[in-house]
Amino acid sequence: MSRLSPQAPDRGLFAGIPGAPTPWTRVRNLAIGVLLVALYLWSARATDFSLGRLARGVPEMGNLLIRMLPFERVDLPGGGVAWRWSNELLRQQIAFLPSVWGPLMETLRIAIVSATLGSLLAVPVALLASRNLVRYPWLYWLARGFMNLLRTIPDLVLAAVLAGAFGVGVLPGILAVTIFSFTVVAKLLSESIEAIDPGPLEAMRAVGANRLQAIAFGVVPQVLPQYIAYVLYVFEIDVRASTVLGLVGAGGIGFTLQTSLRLLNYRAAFMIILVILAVVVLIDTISNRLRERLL
Amino acid sequence: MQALRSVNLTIPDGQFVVIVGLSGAGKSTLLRCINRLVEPTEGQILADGVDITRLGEGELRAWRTKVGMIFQNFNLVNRSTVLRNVLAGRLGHTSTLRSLLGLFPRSDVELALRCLERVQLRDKAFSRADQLSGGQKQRVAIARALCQEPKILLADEPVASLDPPTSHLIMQDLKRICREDGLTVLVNLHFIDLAVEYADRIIGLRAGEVVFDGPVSEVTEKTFEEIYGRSIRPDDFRGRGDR
Repeated sequence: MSRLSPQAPDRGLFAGIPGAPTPWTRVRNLAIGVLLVALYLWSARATDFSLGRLARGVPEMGNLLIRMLPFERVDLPGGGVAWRWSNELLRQQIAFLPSVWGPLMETLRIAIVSATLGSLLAVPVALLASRNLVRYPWLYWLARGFMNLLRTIPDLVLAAVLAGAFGVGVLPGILAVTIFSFTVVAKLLSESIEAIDPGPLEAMRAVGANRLQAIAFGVVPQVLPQYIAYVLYVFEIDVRASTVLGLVGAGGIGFTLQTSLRLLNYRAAFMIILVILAVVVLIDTISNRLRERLL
Repeated sequence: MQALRSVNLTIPDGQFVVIVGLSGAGKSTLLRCINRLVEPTEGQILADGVDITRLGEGELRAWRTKVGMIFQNFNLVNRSTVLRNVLAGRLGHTSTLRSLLGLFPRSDVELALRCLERVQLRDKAFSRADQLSGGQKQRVAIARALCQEPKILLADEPVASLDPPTSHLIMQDLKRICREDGLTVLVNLHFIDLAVEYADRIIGLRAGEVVFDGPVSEVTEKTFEEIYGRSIRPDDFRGRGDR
């Protein structure tokens, strides 16, 4: 415990250097560690989380999985249950696929419209929320505040509120995902703008350019590749977000999935999940390739 | 803390002035007060009888179009073409709408190409600025300043990021062009040999005050020791860098 005694290092190596760790630094770090462990234990208790419960859930998952796959249920004479592979069920599952196309396209359209609108709306706000471009601190803080406030609202809550106003359907979904895209792109873009090389901007001021001209010639070329990358990135997230919002009634493939789960049609649900997986992987891959080439 | 104190200078038209001093002596601040990239806290800066410290926003932009500036780090937009960088020099003369759409008048594009020709870079007009060497970038920056059709040229350590032979090429270009156009030039330098070789007049700054002001013929090694407040060292010279 001599290490914690609030004298020892002070007199030693770092004596007189401003910002050197004091004995209390160690005490504080230890206290933070203890606090974090206590926080975890408190949370785990309150949510009844335990490895035992996790282990008991795993067989249930297996049970669910087998009902998603083309296995026929066979009641054994002794009262037990067996599962047998069925080509007929497989054919049914494959035949179900084309009906997923319509809802899938609807989800993609929601994502495209929302990503586009949100990214466009983000531009002016991101410019106003960049400290190096805005002369008036109040304007900067207003834009920042607006951005941060919107970002605190989870997209599901947003969708629920908007559904209350516009009724269940595609429109509140689009609005929710648009607002979500806006917050993501505005935040990332304003950070990119704040990180630009200030030199060209200074040069634009020196040639007598006005504010808009200075932004167009000094800022836009510097952040355009990042901006396009953010738009692609937010589109990726939007595909997933609009799927999830479909679960709460905003149309699209999420809604179809929800319906088949409610009807306990697990084999249909499985096909929908497969399609979602394939599409998300495909879009993420394409978008990642594009972004790599941009930056 | 004040960067400049009781500075009183008169610069006649067409003079090639080199301002010398250690880093932190106030050279950059002095230059930037002239186009008000730095706002002077007190005093006057008169140009043709007008106090430019009192100009309003629009007047200030009009004043800046007459003052070209060249920077140590070139301050080009790396991702834009050379031509677009040079055309940026016309922004003060172009309406916002036209410039945002990139619709510069044909006469401006012709002017920009002529400016590039004067720094021997016409064939690089459609290269991206980041594909050029340091010396080429600084020449593009000179072309951008010329494209403003300025009366005054400010150059803040224009060769500090360049190697010795290129430094001389850039200084020669600057001197030649300014002679041809009759421009008034203020160059910040900290290399003694460059200052002596290219200046008409040398102004020495030390800790924000003018400690020397006179024609280059009056300058001796002792003058620089006074300006720098220490004895002269080998790295105060750019040298020729000849092989």
